Amino acid sequence: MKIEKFEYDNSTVRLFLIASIIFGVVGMLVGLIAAIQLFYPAMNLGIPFTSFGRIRPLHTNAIIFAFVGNAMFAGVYYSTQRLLKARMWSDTLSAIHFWGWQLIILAAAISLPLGYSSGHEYAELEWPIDIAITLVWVAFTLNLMGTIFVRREKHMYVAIWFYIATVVTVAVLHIVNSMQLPFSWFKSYYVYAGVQDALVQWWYGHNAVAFFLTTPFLGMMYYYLPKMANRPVYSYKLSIVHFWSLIFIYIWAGPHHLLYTSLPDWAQSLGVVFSIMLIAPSWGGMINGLLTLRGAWDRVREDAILKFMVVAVTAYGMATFEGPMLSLKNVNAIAHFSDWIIAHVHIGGLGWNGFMIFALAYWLVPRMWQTKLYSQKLANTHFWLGTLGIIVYALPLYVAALVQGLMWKQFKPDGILQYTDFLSTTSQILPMHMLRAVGGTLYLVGVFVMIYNLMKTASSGKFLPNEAAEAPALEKAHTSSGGWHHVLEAKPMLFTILATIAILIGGLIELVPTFLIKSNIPTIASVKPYSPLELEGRDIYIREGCVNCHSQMIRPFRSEVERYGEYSKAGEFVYDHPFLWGSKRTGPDLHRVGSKYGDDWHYNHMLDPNSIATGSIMPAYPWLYQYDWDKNLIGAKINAMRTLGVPYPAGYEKQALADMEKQASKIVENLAKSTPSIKANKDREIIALIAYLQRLGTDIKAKDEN
Amino acid sequence: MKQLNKISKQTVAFLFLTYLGSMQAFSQSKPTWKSPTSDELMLWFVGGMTLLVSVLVLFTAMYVLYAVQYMILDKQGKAKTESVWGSMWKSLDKGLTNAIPLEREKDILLDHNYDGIRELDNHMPPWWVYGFYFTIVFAVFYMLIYHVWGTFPLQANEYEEEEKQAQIEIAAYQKTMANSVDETNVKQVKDKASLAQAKSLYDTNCKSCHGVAGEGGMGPNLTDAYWLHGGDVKSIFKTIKYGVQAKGMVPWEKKFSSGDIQSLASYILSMQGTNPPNAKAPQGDKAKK
Repeated sequence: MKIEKFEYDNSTVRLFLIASIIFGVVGMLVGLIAAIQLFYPAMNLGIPFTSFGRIRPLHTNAIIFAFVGNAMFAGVYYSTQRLLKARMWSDTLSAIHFWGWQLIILAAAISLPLGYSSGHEYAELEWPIDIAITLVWVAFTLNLMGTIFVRREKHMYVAIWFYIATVVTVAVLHIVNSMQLPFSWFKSYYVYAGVQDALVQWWYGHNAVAFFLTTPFLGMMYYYLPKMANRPVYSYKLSIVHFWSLIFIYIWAGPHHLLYTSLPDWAQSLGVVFSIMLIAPSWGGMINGLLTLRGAWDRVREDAILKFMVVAVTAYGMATFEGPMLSLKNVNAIAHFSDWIIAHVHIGGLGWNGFMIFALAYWLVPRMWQTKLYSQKLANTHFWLGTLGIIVYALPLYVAALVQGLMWKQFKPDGILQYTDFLSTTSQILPMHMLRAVGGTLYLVGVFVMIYNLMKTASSGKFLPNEAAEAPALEKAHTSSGGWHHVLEAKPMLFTILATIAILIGGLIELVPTFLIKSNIPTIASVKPYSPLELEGRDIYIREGCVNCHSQMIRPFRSEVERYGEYSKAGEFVYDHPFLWGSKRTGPDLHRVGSKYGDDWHYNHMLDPNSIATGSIMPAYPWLYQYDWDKNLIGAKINAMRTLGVPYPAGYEKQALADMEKQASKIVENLAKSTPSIKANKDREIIALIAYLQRLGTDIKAKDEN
Repeated sequence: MKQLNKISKQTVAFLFLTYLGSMQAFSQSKPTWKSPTSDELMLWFVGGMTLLVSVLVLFTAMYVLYAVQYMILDKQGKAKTESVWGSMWKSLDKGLTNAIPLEREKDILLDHNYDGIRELDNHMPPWWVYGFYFTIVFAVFYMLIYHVWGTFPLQANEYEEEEKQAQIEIAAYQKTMANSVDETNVKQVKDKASLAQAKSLYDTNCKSCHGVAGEGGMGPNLTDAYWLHGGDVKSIFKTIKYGVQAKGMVPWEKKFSSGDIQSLASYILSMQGTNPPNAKAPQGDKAKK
């Protein structure tokens, strides 16, 4: 047997790790600002680029794709090389992967505050960046698969299975969810509309959590935890069973984000039952992690790294139990649209992802810099700050969610809502929002403690860019022994194909019928396409990120019908590219806000919400009164919409601008008539936005009156 | 089929009661159940959460006790000796995981070695395996119950049921309240309590359009003698109740009780002739005295 000498690439790992921590700090700072805006609206600073609707996507994208993404790549690159006894396949691909990904993050950091948003949560980036993501992801996939094919270790360890599932599924999710029709260099419309768009988005959104935030981290847990604890993995059998069941079941659970919406009942129910069945596969990972520590618990007491890992894995277990519980219809009825969901994702984000990243950083830096951690004491301080931060973050939000969720539903015996004024439920929970910001601050302070500790550590050692290693060459002979799965572990192609099939089934069964079977979305004759000015207003609504705080989905509950009007029907959304149902009600639902108030109400309200509703936490939008709505792109927009199936008559793109001017003039006239003090200009963006808001949900109101 | 239906209902009841526990109370879908009030919901929820938390605390406490015991023994160099907690922990550990004891770990160590990482061939914890089976059974029954047997209503019917139930409850409530007010029998009230209550409603809901003192703004002046939709108490009651959508006046019937609207209409009448500063120019017709 020939022993081959080679080198592990530590440089790329270092780059990804540093990028992760830098963007982590940025992402958390932005999150903190957003959290403060929720009780102190002046923090929006009165300029477009820092208003909540734009920086909330900046926060989520920075945390998911920059902080967690870069850490994932660092963790995967380090462990893959060692598990496969091979250097990463191509240094060029590694470089393309790293720099390409940072460029994408840079593009996101610029385009999101500028208001370029596709409107899909956690996929807000516009189409040119989507294409860049695809290309960089292909580079990563090639690099990983290439390394697998040139490996010197015959069998693939469980960590590698999870990495394979990750690259395949994220590619599928990203491509399907990014199907957009561009109408300009930076803007596009989703090809799907309404219910179908919602299903695609939450199939993506849910599985981005599954395959971007979960499977790569489970893979990393399987490498780093046994290493850190110096213990064998608890159960190989459990690894196999929970891996396959996890990737097969996860993909089905997306519709649990759409319970009690206009999504067909059967799809909702599939979302519920697969979420429930997901408990065991998820917990399989937690159990295998925690039980690997059997016999090492005494060290957990002293070792900050192991403490981080234990809390990370436990937070994973909590979040993956809470998720299925939130998927039960009766719990969802209270928790959905409330702060509960924010608390839930932060248990996962701060606990599972964040803490594992910290453990990784504390473990990797001393090894790659060939030294010892500067201070165990500071690491322990970080651990307690972080843990306290998570608790102080999450608990107040649970309280806020319960209080507000129940207030929304409370009736008086005479059949009238107890809290008719939405704002009165918001004011109740503001103290909780303040506490949440305190929790976030504690967590962030912990990160700074870590950075200091790691910098001290690095400066005390010398970085080793290429780590020498040796291993026997892989014998080509097929002499696999052991169980069938062990044989499969030596066949990466077959393994990848089977994993791909496993993740495709659920998606296909849910998506295809929703797209093809007409009865799933009963049409409503009175629902007509948006007028060009309304369409323009809708684009402004998307740009300002209104969807981050306002849903457009009235669920079939008496409390919501009383508060907002007739519950939303699937047929009402057929021209909505993209859908704007939202996932959080920081403010009231807007699906039937059309003609509820006068034009002047909206005009005054958007300029200074506090003057209409004292104590409102909605930011002001003064720039809508300064900028003109776009007159150049409307033809392209109409054409794009027609291509997507919206029935604008042929040649209407030429007529559209004249219609816009007419509708705008009418709104201005209307404003002057009702409130003579308003001196509105028909070209300003606010006029287009009012046109859109006044249209919302009115199509079937008109039908009722006739 | 009927028999099947009955069996399914029993099974479902069993499943829900055992599995959902306290969450049961949140259900809005049982036609046979009286829909619980929010107070009851809160009670159930708090109860359920308390139970959950206490179980967790109990577990943690047991673990901490065990850990402390261990540490003390460790300090005295007697960690290997069996303590009460140690043996309890061990039997709990064994019962929950069916794991091979640490001492015999070598027997189940697989020959896998990945960068020094070894793997054991432990059994999967029995509770995990059976829990997994249980969720699969739950899933099958759930789909059958909602989509084959139709035991529980889907969301549209569930909503209708909720509305029907509420109408019955409201009707029953109104029977107990003598002479509920509407636009045909509303009278101007002058007692201080009603007017004070109306003023607070006015301040939170009406002020933004009609001004702090009724001087008008986006909405018309309420202090002059001119009215767009009638200035007698019945007309004002009607305007508040049903709104004037075309002019941006919101209908308030779902937000205020009829008693509240009566007080509000009376409060508005009480503003007549107060001549507040910055009053908006008169709109509409002069009221006949």
